[in-house]
Amino acid sequence: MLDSDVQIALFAVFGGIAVLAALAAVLTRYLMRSIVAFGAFLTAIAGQFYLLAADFVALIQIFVYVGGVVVLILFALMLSAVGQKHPLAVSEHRGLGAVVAYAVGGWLVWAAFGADLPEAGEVPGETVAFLGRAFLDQQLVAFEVIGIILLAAVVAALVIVRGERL
Amino acid sequence: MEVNWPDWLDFDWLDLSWLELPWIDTNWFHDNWYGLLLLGFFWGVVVFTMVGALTAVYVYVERKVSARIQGRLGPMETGPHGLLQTLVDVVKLAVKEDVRPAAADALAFRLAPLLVVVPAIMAFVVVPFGVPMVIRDLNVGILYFLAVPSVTGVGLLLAGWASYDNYSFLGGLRASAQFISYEIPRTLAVVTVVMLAGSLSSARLIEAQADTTWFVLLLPLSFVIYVVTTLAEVNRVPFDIPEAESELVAGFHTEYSGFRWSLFFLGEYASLTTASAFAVALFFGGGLGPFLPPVVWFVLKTAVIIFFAVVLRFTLPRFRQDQLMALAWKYFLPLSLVNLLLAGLVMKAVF
Repeated sequence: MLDSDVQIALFAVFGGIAVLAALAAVLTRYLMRSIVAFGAFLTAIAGQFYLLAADFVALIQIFVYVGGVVVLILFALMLSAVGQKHPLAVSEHRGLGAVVAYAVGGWLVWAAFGADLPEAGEVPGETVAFLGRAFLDQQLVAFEVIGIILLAAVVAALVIVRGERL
Repeated sequence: MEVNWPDWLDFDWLDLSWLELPWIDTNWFHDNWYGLLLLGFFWGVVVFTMVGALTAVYVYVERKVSARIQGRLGPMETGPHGLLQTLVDVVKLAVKEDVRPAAADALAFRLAPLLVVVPAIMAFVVVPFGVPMVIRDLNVGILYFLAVPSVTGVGLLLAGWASYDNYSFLGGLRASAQFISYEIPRTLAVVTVVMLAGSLSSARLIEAQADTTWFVLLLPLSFVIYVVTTLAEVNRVPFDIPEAESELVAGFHTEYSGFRWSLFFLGEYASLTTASAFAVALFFGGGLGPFLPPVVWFVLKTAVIIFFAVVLRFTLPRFRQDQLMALAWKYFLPLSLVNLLLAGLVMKAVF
């Protein structure tokens, strides 16, 4: 495994990319660039997961978020015909938006510093087997409930889209 | 079961010690991070060169096979039997002017081909050429193979959008719609193989097949789903509507020329190669076979699958967009779910 110096250096690299990409995502006025930057941010976070020895989670992050969610957002955006030549207008409510954003951000930072984090434990050699057992053992109820919620979301989306034609 | 490979193949591919170069202390590469970085860079160059060379070979084979199917000779002028034709084409593409439409988004226009070609080439990291011969045998290798190339979808959409051209736009939309639709049944087909192998590591996958038999015999339906959905994923005929020349000029890469266009081309062939190589690893026992060394078996089997894809291209007509979507969502998705259920039930009953 990597020694701790390299790990810290890589943490800084991925962290730096994540922060820059996140800034780019909120600062650009072109929606398309914003989404691509969001994709870069998610990839950097996948790198962080990998450094935490969560290889499965890192790849699922890329598979589901970059390869799925970002593609879907881009797809929806292209269908909605927001041309590249039209930057988004700056909102009239930006003052209020800033207040809300700083409040939520401050609350998150406060929560992160105040959190009672558990000690780093042993990394299981087979992360996939470990996760699989956890999903179908202690976390079975949560796992199934998520499945039902997602199914409900799909059905709801269909109802909204089809409207009265159902 | 541990597979007994010949001694001379028993090395870690990320390691260089098997080269036995007297003037290089190979341990040095593993002792520090810049050594590892250099090693990674080295394999990156090797794989990239290999993909480039392979693509040139494919293009030649594809031209010759298509010519044979259509009763022509194909390239004959440059070199004996036109062997040098693709090399000449490479030079042509490399020196051609790089045209960018005035209305295009410069940054996205440059980024898009890279987002298509880099993930496709990165997938080579986990291809099991032989059992110890995996560049990096990740614990989650099969998931890596599915996850990393999925980034290509972003590249295709971005290419279509950045070109600021209606044909490109439609091509990009079609490509990514197809990509995310077929990804689901494809993944579900691979899941059955993972269940049977009991691991996500690509090396362990081959060992599991050494224990039993080729998985294509145990999971024929998964194989059919994998092949059809993979053809759709890599935009091959009969699923090449994102670049259907009779409707969309050239789809998402209409506005690209020269070097950037060849990057798309390279990406397409690189994903065809990794997808075929993984078809061999998942269903045909990878490098398992008598007499010949595993690498040779692996390359031979992969070549057969690629040849099959090339022949298909010139024998089948193209799907229509709505047929393509209906095929994915109405037939392949339920089929792969049923397949998953059946595979699970049979495995539960047998083991």
